[in-house]
Amino acid sequence: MQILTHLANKMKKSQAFGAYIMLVLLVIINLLIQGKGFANVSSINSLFLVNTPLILATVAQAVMIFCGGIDLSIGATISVVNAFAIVAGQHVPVPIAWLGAFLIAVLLGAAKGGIVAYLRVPPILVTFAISTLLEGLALLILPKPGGSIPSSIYSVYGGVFAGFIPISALVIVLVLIGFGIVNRRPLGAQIKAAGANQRSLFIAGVNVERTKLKAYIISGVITGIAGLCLTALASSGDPKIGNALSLNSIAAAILGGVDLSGGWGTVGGAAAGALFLGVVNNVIFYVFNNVIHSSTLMGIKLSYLQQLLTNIIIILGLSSSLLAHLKKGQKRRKQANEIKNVG
Amino acid sequence: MKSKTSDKKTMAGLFRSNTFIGLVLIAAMFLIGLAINHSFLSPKSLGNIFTNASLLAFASLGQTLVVISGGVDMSIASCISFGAVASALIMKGDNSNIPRAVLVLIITGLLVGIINALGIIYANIPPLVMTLAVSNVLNVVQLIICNGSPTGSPAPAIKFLGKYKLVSALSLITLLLIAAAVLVYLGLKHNNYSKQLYAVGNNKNAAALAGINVNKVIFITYIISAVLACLTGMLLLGYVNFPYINMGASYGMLTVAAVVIGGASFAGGKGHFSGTIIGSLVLVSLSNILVAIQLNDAVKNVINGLVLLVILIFYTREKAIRQ
Amino acid sequence: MLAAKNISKQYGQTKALDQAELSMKPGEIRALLGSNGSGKSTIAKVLGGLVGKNQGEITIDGEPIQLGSAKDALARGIALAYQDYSLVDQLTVEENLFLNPKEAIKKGFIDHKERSDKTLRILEQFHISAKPETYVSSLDESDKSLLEVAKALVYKPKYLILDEVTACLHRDQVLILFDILRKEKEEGLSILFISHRFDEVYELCETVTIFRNGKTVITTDLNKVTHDDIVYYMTGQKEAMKKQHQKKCASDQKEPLLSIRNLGVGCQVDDVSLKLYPGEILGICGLQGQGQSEFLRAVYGSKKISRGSITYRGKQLGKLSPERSLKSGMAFISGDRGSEGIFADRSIFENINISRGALRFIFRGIRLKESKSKADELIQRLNVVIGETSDPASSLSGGNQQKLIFARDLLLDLSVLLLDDPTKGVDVKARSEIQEILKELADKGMACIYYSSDYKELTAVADRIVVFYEGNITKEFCDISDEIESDLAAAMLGATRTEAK
Repeated sequence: MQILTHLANKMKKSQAFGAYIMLVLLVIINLLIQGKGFANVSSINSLFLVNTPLILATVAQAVMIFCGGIDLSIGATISVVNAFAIVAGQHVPVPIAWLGAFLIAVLLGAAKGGIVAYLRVPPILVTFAISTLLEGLALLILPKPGGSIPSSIYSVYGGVFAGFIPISALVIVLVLIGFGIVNRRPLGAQIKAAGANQRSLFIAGVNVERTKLKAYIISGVITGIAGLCLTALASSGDPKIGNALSLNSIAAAILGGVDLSGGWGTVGGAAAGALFLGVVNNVIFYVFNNVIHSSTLMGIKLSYLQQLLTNIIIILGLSSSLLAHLKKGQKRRKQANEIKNVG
Repeated sequence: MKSKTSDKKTMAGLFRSNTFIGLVLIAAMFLIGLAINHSFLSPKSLGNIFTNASLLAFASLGQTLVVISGGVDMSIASCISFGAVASALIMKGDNSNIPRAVLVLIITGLLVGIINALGIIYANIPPLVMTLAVSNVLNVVQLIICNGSPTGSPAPAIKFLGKYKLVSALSLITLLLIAAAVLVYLGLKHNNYSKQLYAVGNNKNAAALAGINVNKVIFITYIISAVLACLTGMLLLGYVNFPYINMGASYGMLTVAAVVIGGASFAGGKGHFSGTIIGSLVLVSLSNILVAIQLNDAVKNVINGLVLLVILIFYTREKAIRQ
Repeated sequence: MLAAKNISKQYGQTKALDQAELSMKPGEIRALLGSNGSGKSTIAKVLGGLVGKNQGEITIDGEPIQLGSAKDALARGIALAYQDYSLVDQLTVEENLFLNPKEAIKKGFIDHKERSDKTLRILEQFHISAKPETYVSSLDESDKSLLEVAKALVYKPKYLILDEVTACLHRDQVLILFDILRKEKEEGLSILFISHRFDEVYELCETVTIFRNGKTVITTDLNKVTHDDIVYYMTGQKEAMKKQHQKKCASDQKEPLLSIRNLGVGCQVDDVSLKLYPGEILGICGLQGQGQSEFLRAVYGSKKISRGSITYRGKQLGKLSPERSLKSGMAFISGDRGSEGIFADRSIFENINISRGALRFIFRGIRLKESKSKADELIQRLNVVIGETSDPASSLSGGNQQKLIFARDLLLDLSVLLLDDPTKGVDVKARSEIQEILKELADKGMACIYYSSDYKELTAVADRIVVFYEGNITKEFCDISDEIESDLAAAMLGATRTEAK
């Protein structure tokens, strides 16, 4: 009993502890359901392969949420990265094309950051408008799904290091370490302050706009990597490939303990939240394909049920902040929310 | 001591008003359209613009209310899609099925509105995010009820509603909108709900202190928005005559743009249906111009996004830290 | 020396500062006094770079300076500790102290050991019960206040401005803080101490500047002014109020309408008990920030009660909310009309009817004729000066806006009216009209709890007066007459508070 209360207290205070516990529990449940089917190198590799784009997008999203923003266009940005990489890859050497695609993501991050920080337009609304714009842009670059990538890229991305560590997982680790470096500098806490209480950051004599811009650029870098990973995974182009990632990354971040009102959470927790979603989808997929032996359930196509379930889980993920902040933290954040969150 | 006269009554106030700007924009659109295509202002073409603008205005009525309350509703598009597909399925071209179709649409709208409000009030999810998430769920439900390929067709009465034209330029839909506009104006002008809605949007603190049940107002608003959107889907079905997946998709962002052009503010407390109607006209004229130039969907998306972005930059900036 | 001359600042229609003057000399501790709305917080924010001035000049040692941001102010050696804290709750104590670090940095990276050590030393110095890694959100208000001051000192300023930092401090913490401040003063720091607590002001400061209505009234040595002088400078001359109202002491009534027992709200209200009888005006006297505002809101139901109970009409109240209070005949009027009373963009007519509508069925149509005639009647009766009832409420002056809110509540069937400084910033004529309204209502049997920051106004209106000081009622005056005014003034300044805290 004491262990449980100790755990509960740690969860309330820590910025990500709850997310890790949930992930561990889920993995255990999954192991029980799938057994050896889950606990082998190939399965784990495929889990990370498929989910790394979401995990990276969630980390990028988390950084923006830390500084008081949110990005509904992260998915569309990834679509643009994918479209550009594929199309440019048909005209210039692939490394240059991919570098270009990456730079586009960084530039877009800077543009979003500039508009949010300096023009002070509410991030939710502005990134929503930008997402429409970018969705159209992706379609302009690549009107129909198609194209291909050199097989060497896929074999690297899909490969395994030292026999059991997925390369895709390594990418995530590198990104997390990279942000960890930012956190060891004053900028880390300043980004959080910009989101939690920008007035206090201003009073401390820090340039708030520049801090937010830096956060958005960091996000842009991570988004670019996510887009390239997704391109490597899909091995082709699809102008709508990333669009669902916007909402999913927000839900995953919240599941990972990131507070939408800003200034709270960790990138590790965000990654755990995204991985949690990935494992949930993995379980659902397994159940729907290996346990239910027909293509319909109660007359409904399984693929639809799967989509329905995934989307309901997104809503539950978004609401999970309700559980985390049921005590006194909530009132203050509610007030902050009411002032900040337009739309 | 003499009190100040309000801004609206002065000439300067008139020029700054959203209505005026909106009307100027419409005139500009019409002129540009005329330049591109000589029959842009023909009765047939005008009728097309009016009808589509009316449909957008119907869809945006709920959005107007939601934005006045200080939120935004992105589930309108999926409600329209669902409404079209579900009503086609239920009506199956038979007038006697209309009541059942309407009932199902109302119940769905009720559920969607309640879920939206629950997430926004109790889970502190920003309205835009919550309504988007619910929208995704509703889109899948749309797929489920028709198993991926919509069947059915509008009942003759609904088809009549959607297709009948009094004269070339005035369809029944346009007339319905004018009637709706009048009803909304009269109905809301002296209604308690309308006063409370504007109060909540204008000053939430003062509203709570004055005894208004703010949560109740928010629930009602999101419910109205969803129900109206579902019913608009049925009307759209009558106009288009056959259902297809995600019919309402384009309406999502357009309702937001229409409401903002019409003078509503995302801070809440401002906006009128009349402004939204003007905003709808502006957007549909723009859209028709884009069609006349024969731009593809992708470019339209980019332009729509740009337009919304520019509108947002001009209308919704927040206060600086230093005053 | 830091000198601000001729500083004016306008927020829309309100003049927060009107050619105000203030100076700070090295090695001097100066008090800045004034009631809310007098501009003292505004001038502090101007000097801190948080608010821009419309007019005026700020100089350091004769050289004019620009304070375009807090960064500029800090660069000039001006640091502030704010009333509402400039801390970040979601960060740790250490992170807050070193949010903009000039030290404990190696090649751009944080030197955690050095920072942690420095933080520990500061925590020890201020006797703050926390560790460097404690999140500020879990600190209590008094530790936060101390941390706020410590944070300002980290920047090693030449000019330190403290805005109401002792509000939540216990007595022993105040002593520790004052020790630290005196040591800093010896080393040449110039301190501006903004406070409502007169005894602390006399304890710490040497000179005083008093603001009223955005203007500097006087700057002088503290030993040259009495308590009465100070209150006079702060609140200004008042016309003698006519005293026609029947004075009754509570003892001839047996059943209290409202009975409050041991009420506590957060750190602002400690332990308040009182009884309210029908037909009486109970005045609350006290300087701002003594807990009376939170108390009134807690009774109304818009603020959460931490401890205690409220009995209304014999029934103990359970869950409180403004809606329930209004339905049972208890209304609340806030002096902060802008953010808590008036719907600026809505018409005068709507503003009046809003509460009545709130208590009715939500889709009910408004009976126009009846509502209009009632509204007109009230506007007449209260002498609200308007253009048309369809004009927006923002077109009215402050006093008329306040009367509008009265009209709103008078439309309801009221037994109890709670008022939180409703005449703040209201012109003299409107003030006396409001006082007449209250007396009329009391004669008809309505009961009022009326807080006014102007104690002379209370003697003209109230039947009984209780004095709020540091979250408690310290004295009750039952027999109101002109003679008690000096007693009131003394009580307001804490003259009867118990020794140890």
